[in-house]
Amino acid sequence: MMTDEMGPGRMGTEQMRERVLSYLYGMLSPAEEEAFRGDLAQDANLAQILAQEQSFQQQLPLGSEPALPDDALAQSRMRLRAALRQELIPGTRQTPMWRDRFSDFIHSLIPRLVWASGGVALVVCGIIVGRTVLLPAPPAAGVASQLVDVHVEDFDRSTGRVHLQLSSLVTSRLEGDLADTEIQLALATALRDGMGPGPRLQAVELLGLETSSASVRQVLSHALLHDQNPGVRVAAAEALSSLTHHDAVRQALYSALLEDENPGVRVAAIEGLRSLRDPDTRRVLERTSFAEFNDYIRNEASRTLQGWDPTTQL
Amino acid sequence: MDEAERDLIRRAQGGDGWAFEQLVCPYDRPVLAMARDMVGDLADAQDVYQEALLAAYRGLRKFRMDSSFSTWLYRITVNHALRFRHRRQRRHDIEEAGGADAADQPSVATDADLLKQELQRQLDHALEDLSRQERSAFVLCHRQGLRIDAAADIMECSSGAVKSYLFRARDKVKKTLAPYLEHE
Repeated sequence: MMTDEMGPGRMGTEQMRERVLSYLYGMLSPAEEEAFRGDLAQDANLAQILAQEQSFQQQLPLGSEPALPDDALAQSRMRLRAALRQELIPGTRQTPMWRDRFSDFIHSLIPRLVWASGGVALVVCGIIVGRTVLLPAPPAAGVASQLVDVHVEDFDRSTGRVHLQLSSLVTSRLEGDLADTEIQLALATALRDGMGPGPRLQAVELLGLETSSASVRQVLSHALLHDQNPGVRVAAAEALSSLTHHDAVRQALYSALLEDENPGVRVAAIEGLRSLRDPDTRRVLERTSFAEFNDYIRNEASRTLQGWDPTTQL
Repeated sequence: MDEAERDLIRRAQGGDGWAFEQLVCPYDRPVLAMARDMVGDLADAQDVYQEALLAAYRGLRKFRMDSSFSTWLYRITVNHALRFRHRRQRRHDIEEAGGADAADQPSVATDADLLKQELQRQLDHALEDLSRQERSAFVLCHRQGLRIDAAADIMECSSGAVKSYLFRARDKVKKTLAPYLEHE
């Protein structure tokens, strides 16, 4: 009985529904589509099924994938870029996870041991001396490695004289020119990750004023590529932008432009590279003009290239 | 496939990472979107994106250029997303067996945005209940708006099969979302 009542009618409905869905998903040929529209005008059931299916389609339209957050795609691209770089370095591919963790553990242990032993030594000294000591002489490298804070007390732009307050378990002051190795060493020490972003920013800004030594350029490049704080990285990029005649500085700026996750740092890097005309810079700018996610930076790269060669298309 | 794309493929096959980036640039947004729809979570989708594109880079030497690069790339993405879901499900099963409470917090839709979020959440749940093929067909054809034949190439099956998976998936999704959709 049920078969008699439902069989042919149900089949008809199912077939109609399949036809409707084929229509909605663009699966019909032009001729079939025309025939479908013709039937639609005459068949109320077909029109009703279409209305029902269209209702679903309106709630959840075709291509209804919600828009991706731009920063998620940019972040994914950066991660891919870094991973591709790793792929290209022989021997780095697919390092076992336990080895990474063990290596991280050992690396994290070493500075702690150094700090602990230094701390014990200084506590002993502190007990003996029993008061805060004003160091008359510049700190030796060993002392600098124990610093927990570096504060710029005063800086005279006209003379280049700087007064630093150095804190470990004892507090000391250091005065000298920016060109002095001890001053540079103390400022470089301030860039160590354990210190706050304030001292690190001050250190980068001061080191950026005296960049004649390769070690300062190296410290600034390191800050550009590895400092956690984007403001410090921007300051490092700006400090390095007048030093692009050094190959290592250019390489650091290329890396920052191509890989830094912060657009401000990338802008500072492109500003630094803008005046160059060499093939490597051109290659990096071409890459940026194509693959950079940020519109402004991409356009700046294109504009810079166009300034070099009017035939370059924006 | 145009000559510029072939050139990029050849260079990337030779190990040029930059060429690979340029090659995937026009397709990586759909890759991430597809991954998100397949795994239902953006952070997980970013992992799938990473896995899939690195797998594509490593496997590019095997790409013969006799099919579309995008189809090949999307196929890798879909397969990685399905594998990711499988791994995640296994982890989830183990956690549940260990007594972890993974119950979702009920949410109250108080305005249109919340309702939309709730609909998305329910859609993710609905997709969970689909078979691998149904989910792939629904994500590719309905969510990404690909044509049936393109989806068939990616899923490596016939257009008729994709159509069947898609319609079944649509029915199931419709049933799950019925309380959240406006009445017809």
